[in-house]
Amino acid sequence: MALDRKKLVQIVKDKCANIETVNNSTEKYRTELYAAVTDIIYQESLHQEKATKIQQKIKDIISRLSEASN
Amino acid sequence: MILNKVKIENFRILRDVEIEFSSDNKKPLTILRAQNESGKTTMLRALQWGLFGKYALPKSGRNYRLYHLDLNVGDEIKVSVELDFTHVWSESPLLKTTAKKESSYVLKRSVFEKVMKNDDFERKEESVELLEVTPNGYSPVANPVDRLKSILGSNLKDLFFTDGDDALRFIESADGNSARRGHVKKAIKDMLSFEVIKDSIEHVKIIERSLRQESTSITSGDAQKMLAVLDKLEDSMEDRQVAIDDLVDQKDETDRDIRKIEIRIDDILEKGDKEELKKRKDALKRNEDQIDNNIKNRYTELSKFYYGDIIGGVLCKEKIDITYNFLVDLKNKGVFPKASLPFLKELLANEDDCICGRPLKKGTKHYTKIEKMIKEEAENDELGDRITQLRGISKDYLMQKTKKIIFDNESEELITNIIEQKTNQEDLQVEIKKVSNEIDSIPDSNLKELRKQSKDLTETRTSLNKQISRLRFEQDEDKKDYRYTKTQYDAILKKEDRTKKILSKINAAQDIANVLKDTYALVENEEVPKVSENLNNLFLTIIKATDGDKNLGLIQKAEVNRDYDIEVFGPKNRKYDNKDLNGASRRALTLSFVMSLAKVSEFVAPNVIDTPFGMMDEIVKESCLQTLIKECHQVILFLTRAEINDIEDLLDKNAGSFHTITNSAHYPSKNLVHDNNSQDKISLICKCSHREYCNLCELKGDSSSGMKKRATK
Repeated sequence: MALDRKKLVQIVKDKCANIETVNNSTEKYRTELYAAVTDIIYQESLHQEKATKIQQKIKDIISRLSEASN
Repeated sequence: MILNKVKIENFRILRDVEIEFSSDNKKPLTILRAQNESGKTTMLRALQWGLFGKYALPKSGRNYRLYHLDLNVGDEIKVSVELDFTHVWSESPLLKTTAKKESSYVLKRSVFEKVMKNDDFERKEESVELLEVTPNGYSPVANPVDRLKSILGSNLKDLFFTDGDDALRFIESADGNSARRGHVKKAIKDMLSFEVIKDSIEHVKIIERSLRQESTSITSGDAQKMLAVLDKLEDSMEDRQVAIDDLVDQKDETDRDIRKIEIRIDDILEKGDKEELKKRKDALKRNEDQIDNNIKNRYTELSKFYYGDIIGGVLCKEKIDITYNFLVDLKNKGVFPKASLPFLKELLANEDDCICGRPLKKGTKHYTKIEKMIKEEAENDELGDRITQLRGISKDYLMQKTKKIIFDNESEELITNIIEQKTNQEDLQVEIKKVSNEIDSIPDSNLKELRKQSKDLTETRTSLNKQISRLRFEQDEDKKDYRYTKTQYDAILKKEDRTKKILSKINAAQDIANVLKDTYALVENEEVPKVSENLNNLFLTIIKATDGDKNLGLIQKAEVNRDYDIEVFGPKNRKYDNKDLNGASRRALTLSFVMSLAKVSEFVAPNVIDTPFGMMDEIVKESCLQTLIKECHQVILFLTRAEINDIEDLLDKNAGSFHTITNSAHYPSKNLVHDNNSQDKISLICKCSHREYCNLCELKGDSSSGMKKRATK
């Protein structure tokens, strides 16, 4: 895959900035959401190349985002 | 990634080869000139193996020997490929890179192979070493395989390292349509990061569900019921979405089928609608029959003039004239009619005196004389009647001069009408013949059946649209229910401190899933069409089928459709079977696909292509090369001398590195002039450009061809 696509990063960034969020919609939360989504994609790309504990990693990312929302 | 240099040792006939690639932006071309069987494809395999390992070899290298055939059974040899390359790491959160950085690497891949009996071999485990060039020298990369995967991506070997024939798998496949689509789909989905986003969505959803289950165990009964409702609604929405997607696909498929049928109908109608023509012929025939009847009726009317009184009067007018005048004269003279006869009879009957005063007594002389006169008159009476009658008739004829005019006028009118109708009849007969010929010239077609199919499909489409609308309505209703229930559920959970944290995590997971889902949809809906659009532009440019906005020639459009088929269209949107395209167009199409995908994916890598210009004429070859130079970051081409013909000037201008590969075994049978250890049967490398030759690569005729002899040691 070609993960260093500027366009893909931009799409994710735009979505995080504009999506109707469930948790809260502060700038800080949206920044954390962007970090969480890109981190998940990165972890998935590693998992595709070589099996990792992907579910636990994603669970951790979700927990971090949830803390950022409080 | 940009390749700088490769060193190959003992890879089949490449015993000791070193090649420098041009990494100059202004001259991105590297040319490797080689005749057939000189080692071009082996060189391509060596590069692929060096970068990707055994999985890049045919059948993952299982039956693909690397050793040189001259080795003996029991010989063991080390095969190695060493590559120098540069990679620019862009700043990307998706790669965990925080700044743009250019790194240079040396990749060393080697393996030991032992020659066994019966052409078999024993290969040991490959060794891979990746060294990063640092200011202090070479620094080994701890996990070279993972680093290489980050740099190369997983589909690079199939897209960027191609030979002309192999690349054709994107448009034609011996394994069938699904295999061909599979190649295209895999390449697109991989290069545009579909799979990684899809997997991310799946994993986030799994975790979201597990968080809900966790919350269920610690929440109240009401919340649990609502959660069950939410789960049910979610399942229902997903099922419905699958159904909608399926119906939309069916509708799209139906639309395509309708378009195809309409094109076929147009095609048939352009040649002529046989049914319509038959109807037209029947109508013309009916008109002709009607006119034929009219003519017959007119003849009947006309014939009446020729057996009635009128024709007699007309034909005998002169004689009747004379007769009539004669009879009038007789009448005027009192020759007839005889008006005195009844008077005389009365005188005799009454035995009165005669008008002359003499007595008319029976037996008198005068009586007898009168009696005689009556008798004579009576004898002449029949003739007189006839004459009187004749005068009357002739008078009638003469009095009816208008009949002559009527005869003249009406017969003329009838004859004119008959002539006109005859002319019309002849015109119609010509038209009928013309239509008959048209009908005969049109092959029998199933136009009626096609129209029926089109009608049936249109009805199917209408029905599908209704189903889609209904499902979308129900989907919207479900969404409303879901939002309402979720609000209530959240409200209950908020009251319970213990569940607050889980709720927050569920919401976070939903936010992430929503971003990923939207991203996936956007990539699919916007990026794939971009690949198609680029493919079209590049392909039409290469084959010179476009002049600005104007399409020329028989090929007018190429696209990647929703089923991941690469299709080519001609005038009136008529689809070509890719197998029907000529060799040059097929190669141009596959190269266009590779270039367009590389462009949309923004992936920087060398395009290494073996014999790309086979079957291309001078014009297409030139435009293909110009497009490659314009679209690719680095282009490494393996070209035969025939392929180089006609593009020498372009190579002069754009190539930064030239090499010639020569098979020593080509002396002398394949025109190689010098014997350079021909017994060894190995590839020899020299730095001769397309305008040079040397003692290693000189072929018969080179010295007289205008090429320059390059001095060697």
